[in-house]
Amino acid sequence: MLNKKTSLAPKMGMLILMFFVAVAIFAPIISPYDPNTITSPYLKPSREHFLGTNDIGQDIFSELIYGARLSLFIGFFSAFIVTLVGSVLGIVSGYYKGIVGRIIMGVTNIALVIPSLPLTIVLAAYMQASIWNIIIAICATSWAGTARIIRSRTLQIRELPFIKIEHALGVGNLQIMFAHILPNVLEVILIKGTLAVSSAMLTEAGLSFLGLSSSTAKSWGSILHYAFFRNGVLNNYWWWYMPPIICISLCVLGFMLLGYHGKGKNKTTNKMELT
Amino acid sequence: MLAIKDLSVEFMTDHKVKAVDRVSLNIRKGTNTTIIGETGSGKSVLILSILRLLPPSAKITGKVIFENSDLFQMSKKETELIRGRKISYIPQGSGNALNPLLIIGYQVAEPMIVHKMITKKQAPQRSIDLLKRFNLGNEERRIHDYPHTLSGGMKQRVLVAMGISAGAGLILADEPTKGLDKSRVFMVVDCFQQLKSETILCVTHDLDFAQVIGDYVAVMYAAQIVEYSKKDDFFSKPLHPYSEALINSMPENGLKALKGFAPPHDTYSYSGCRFFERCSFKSDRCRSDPPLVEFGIRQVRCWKYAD
Ligand SMILES: Nc1ncnc2c1ncn2[C@@H]1O[C@H](COP(=O)(O)OP(=O)(O)OP(=O)(O)O)[C@@H](O)[C@H]1O
Ligand SMILES: [Mg+2]
Repeated sequence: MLNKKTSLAPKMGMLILMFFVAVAIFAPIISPYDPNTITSPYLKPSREHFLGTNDIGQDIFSELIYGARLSLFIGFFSAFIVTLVGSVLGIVSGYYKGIVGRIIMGVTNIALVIPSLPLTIVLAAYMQASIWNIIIAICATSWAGTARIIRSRTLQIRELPFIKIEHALGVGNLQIMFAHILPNVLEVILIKGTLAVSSAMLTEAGLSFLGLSSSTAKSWGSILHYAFFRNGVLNNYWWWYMPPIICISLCVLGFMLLGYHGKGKNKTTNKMELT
Repeated sequence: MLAIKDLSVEFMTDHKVKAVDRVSLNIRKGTNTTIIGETGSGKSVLILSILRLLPPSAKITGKVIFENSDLFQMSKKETELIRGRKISYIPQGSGNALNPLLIIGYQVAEPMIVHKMITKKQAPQRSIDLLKRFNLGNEERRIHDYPHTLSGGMKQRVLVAMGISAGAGLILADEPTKGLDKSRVFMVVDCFQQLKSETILCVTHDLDFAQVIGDYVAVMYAAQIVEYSKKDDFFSKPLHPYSEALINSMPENGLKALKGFAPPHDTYSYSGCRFFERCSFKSDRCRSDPPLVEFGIRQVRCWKYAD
């Protein structure tokens, strides 16, 4: 059973994330300027520009607010694809543990042993710089972990008596996989999905930092990129490079709190472990 | 209704295990047959092989004729259509026999839905009706509950409802009373007595249960059926020495336990009676395979009755 202490963490995580999601949604209302409008470059923080301006004179505070949109979108979208693909492959390969399962697992294992960061970088560099290609690069390398975990859970569950009984009553394979096994692995899927968002956001930041994303798209990673390559870091303009770092860190923290401590919400799963 | 002919099941593991050895059994429509026998004698394997639910490592030979067709010759699709709709299976209720994350109402109605007999919309009402038949109590609310809120006896009744949900005429049950105390057993007995039109083949360890439920009794010992008879004949005058020992072990008959264990599976290839070591009537001829002696429909596999 959950006690108050453990349920505080996911609430905190939820609060942080809701804040950023709200910022992203209401960006046009909150942000003082259009992040693409150009004024004087390299301004220090002031009344007009809370966080100064960047090398071409765009308001950094507005960039940051709009950056939440893209960073969160890429995070959520990639995580959705990764989790969907990983879960389906995991369930199918665990359920058909014969030839089909072994082929899927073979591919999964290969995808797991390939160092994913270099591959992502190579992929992103090879394709044209755009946010969709960034998403593809993130997805291509990170579905394997989810597939592995879901498969091993499926392998356990498929041997439970109630699955045998479904077979005995003429219930088909698809129905068993998606009406009976899926609810039993849903918790793992949700946790993996939450963590996938944060890791996708980190990867996106990394790739954008390296300049592999679209040069005009505004995300936290791309703010960092320009801060670094246009002398922001060199001159220690902390108002330029610190805010995106803090935002990314806070979001990752939010997802971690939610993902690692958000389990056990489903009241019946506790009971299942007892029987 | 169901004719099992020379059914053998061998498991192709490291060393071969012959779990069922040339079993023949006729189940008449509308009758109840119980299979009794000690642990490891192959009862569950026999039941599961009828519906082809054994893992691929099981090699099955023989025939099972159901409504004029051989179940073992059917395609996967045909088998799926028979399962639940013509022949169904009721497992023991302890453990995870029900999906812990799905509500009871859905699970009871699911066989009807997958066999396209009802729509999802009709499911709640149909499961209420079914559960009412087995007196689950408070059915309208119960169908929204999860399995962990049920007691063992209630789970067993839900499983029976699930088993007959799609209208199967032949019910195979594997130890439906296992893990239940005596008062719960009565509830299950009640449940099974509700199934008047269905034909039941039921594995049990519980001789009292067999006595109440069954019309016929088959005794399994070391992968073979050693005695088959009408219930009354069986309980008043068991023929096989093993059956006699079983009946003597019932509490009302003095709880005389049978000593020793059934022989291990690798000795089945030797000839001779498998009950030899533990039998108190053994003689020299028991060292070769005993014949199956028939008295009308009654059968016994023992040299004692050979003359
Ligand atoms: N999947 C399997 N692989 C290998 N051997 C098996 C398998 N399933 C059952 N067996 C063997 O078949 C034999 C018969 O098992 P079965 O489960 O039918 O016994 P049972 O009569 O139902 O016993 P119980 O009363 O304890 O349920 C056992 O020796 C068992 O080890
Ligand atoms: Mg058994």
